[in-house]
Amino acid sequence: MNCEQLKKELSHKLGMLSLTPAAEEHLGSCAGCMQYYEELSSLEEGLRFQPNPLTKEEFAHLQESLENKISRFQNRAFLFYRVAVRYGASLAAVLLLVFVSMLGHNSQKLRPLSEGDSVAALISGTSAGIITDSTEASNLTTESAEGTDTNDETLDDQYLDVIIGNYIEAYGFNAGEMLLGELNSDELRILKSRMKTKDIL
Amino acid sequence: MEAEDEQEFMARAKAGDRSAFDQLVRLNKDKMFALTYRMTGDREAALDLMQDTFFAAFKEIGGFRREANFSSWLYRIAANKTLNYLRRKKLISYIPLAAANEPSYDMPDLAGSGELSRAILSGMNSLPPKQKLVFNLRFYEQLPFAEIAAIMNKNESTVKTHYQKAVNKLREMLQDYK
Repeated sequence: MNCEQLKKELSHKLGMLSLTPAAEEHLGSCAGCMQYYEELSSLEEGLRFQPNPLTKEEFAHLQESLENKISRFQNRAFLFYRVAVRYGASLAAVLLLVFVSMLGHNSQKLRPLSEGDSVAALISGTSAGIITDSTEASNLTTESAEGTDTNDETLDDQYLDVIIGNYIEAYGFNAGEMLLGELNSDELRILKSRMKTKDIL
Repeated sequence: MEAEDEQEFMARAKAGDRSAFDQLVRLNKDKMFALTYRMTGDREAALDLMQDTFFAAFKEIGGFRREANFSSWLYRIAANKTLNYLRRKKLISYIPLAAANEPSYDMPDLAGSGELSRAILSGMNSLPPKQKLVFNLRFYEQLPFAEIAAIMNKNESTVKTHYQKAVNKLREMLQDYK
């Protein structure tokens, strides 16, 4: 063992300094390395101090703050689902009717969302970008309210995904995240698999 | 025993059990506090970083792999948040000199040698954040180099080099002081 190897070994062991037989043998015949070892020993001694541990009050405060943060997070996620469930059926019905209507009337077309579309407009179904004829849209909205009792679940999933997907594509993931609230990893995973937006997310 | 408890709590927390997650917080609070406090030298900042760490863990626990070590995973989150904090605030100092006089910072092993302790703290102050992190995880938390490498997403030899450099800086600083 040479001096460089020994110093490297000793420095790696600081905090649990110990000597192998080979190191002891080298130290016995090398004053420079012995000095290095003694310096590390006193450094190790000097570093052995502990900050005051976390007090009960500090931990109680931490728990309370963490609890609040987690509750807010869960409430936001819950709120999103409530909104989605509440407005999803009517929104999906509106969009389906718009879609069907456009198939029948070639002049009525869906176009991708643009910067000018707001979430509120999307949810109300009156965005100028989604329905090109506002009179028609108004009629369709009325019809959809009557038609929401049929195939609600299928329509919810399908068209909410389209709307959220379009929104993310138009404004980017951050905007999508704002729209969705802070989702946990499970929710994000479900969203990714359902929406096929891996390239965006 | 603690490790077994941690595995069990982790499995339950992963399944959505809030009380199990609270137990994980209890089991790891001292380790996380020691790391964040030593790194920042600021009790308030350390508590905030702990809170951020546990909150991030709560959000991500669904994606945590059971075969991984929960403490290491938490260390990784805390280390990243702490390094970001230091970068963001440019708080590269370990413990500000003024803080060494605060009664909240206890150094029982250095009683009667206040200047030496300040000299050592000052030396710690001057370490770059990554060296400081490696030094804390190794010296104070006694983690193996391989685990530190995993926490920091670096290879083991890089971590060893960081540690060696930190040790030599502190040793030289101590010699200058004497």
